[in-house]
Amino acid sequence: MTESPLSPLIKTARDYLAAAGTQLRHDQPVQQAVGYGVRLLTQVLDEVRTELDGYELAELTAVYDTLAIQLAEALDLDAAAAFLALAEFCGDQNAIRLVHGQPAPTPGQLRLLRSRLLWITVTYEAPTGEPSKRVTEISYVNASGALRSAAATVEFGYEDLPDRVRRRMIATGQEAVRYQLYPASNPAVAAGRA
Amino acid sequence: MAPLVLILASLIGGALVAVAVYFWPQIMTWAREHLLPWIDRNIPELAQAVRLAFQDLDKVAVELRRAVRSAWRRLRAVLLSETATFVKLVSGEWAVRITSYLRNVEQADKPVVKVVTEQHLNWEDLPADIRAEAMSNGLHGKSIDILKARDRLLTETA
Repeated sequence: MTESPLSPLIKTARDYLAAAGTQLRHDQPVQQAVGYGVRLLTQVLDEVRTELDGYELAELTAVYDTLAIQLAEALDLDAAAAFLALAEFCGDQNAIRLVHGQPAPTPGQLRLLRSRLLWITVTYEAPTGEPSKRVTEISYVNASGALRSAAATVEFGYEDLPDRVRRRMIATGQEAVRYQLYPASNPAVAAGRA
Repeated sequence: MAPLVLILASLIGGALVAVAVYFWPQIMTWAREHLLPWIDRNIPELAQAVRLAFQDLDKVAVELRRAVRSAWRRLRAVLLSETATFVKLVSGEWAVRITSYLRNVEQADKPVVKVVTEQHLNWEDLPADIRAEAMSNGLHGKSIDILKARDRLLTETA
């Protein structure tokens, strides 16, 4: 659930081109032509990057939207409040970007999540000869202390799977890829090791 | 410093701690899921306990912690050993192999059962510095004693 792996590459290429563009001399026709091409290319790269991030962000929004509805139903919360709490709870920087500027979840809401939620996963499946699907699942403890699980399935075409999901399926030869949103791997904790 | 880091450092040592800490939430999920089919089939009364027992105590509220501790104690009565081993596959991919030994109360002729499963590691998500550390320190074949780590985490976390 991070930005497209291509995005930083595109940004680097764009920045190099822009830097090179400023070094070109404008008194020679050839360099003028190169300069014009470089300017156009940097614009194209900017647009590609925005579009890529937009697509990734749209998928991320859809995932969190679905999860928020499931969570709202499970813990008897308002769906908008559940979305805000979920982004904060999962510590997902990209999801937090989505709720930027909106009121922060209350300590009570976060406490409710901490006392009830066990894990949150998103699984993409692409079985041969069948439509691909995305399964969002939350497991939680209900008010009377019993374990419960809620899953929501959305079907879509193989070509609409997020790029990184398709790449991982091809690399591993598996028909399903699962992301664990909570508890998530935490690079910050790992980095503070020594 | 987080207790998890300290505990894993004392169990596996060296630079591999970073890799183990990074993948810990994932390893806990696999440790749980790897036991589920056998427990559900053979000791269904532990079905709820095994689902709770691997929950991270750091992030949960007090009442859930109590439930997790009690679930772990119940599971410990049948779980004799559980280890996670990092393995490099022939394809160049990495995996974690989880091996458990369980007390088989029902069958006197086969008192101990061994369960082994393997899960692919999503290696490309690992931060570059941690990946480099893992590569230069020979991750292949290194094991984590999940039982010991979990026992200590549950006793040393307030």
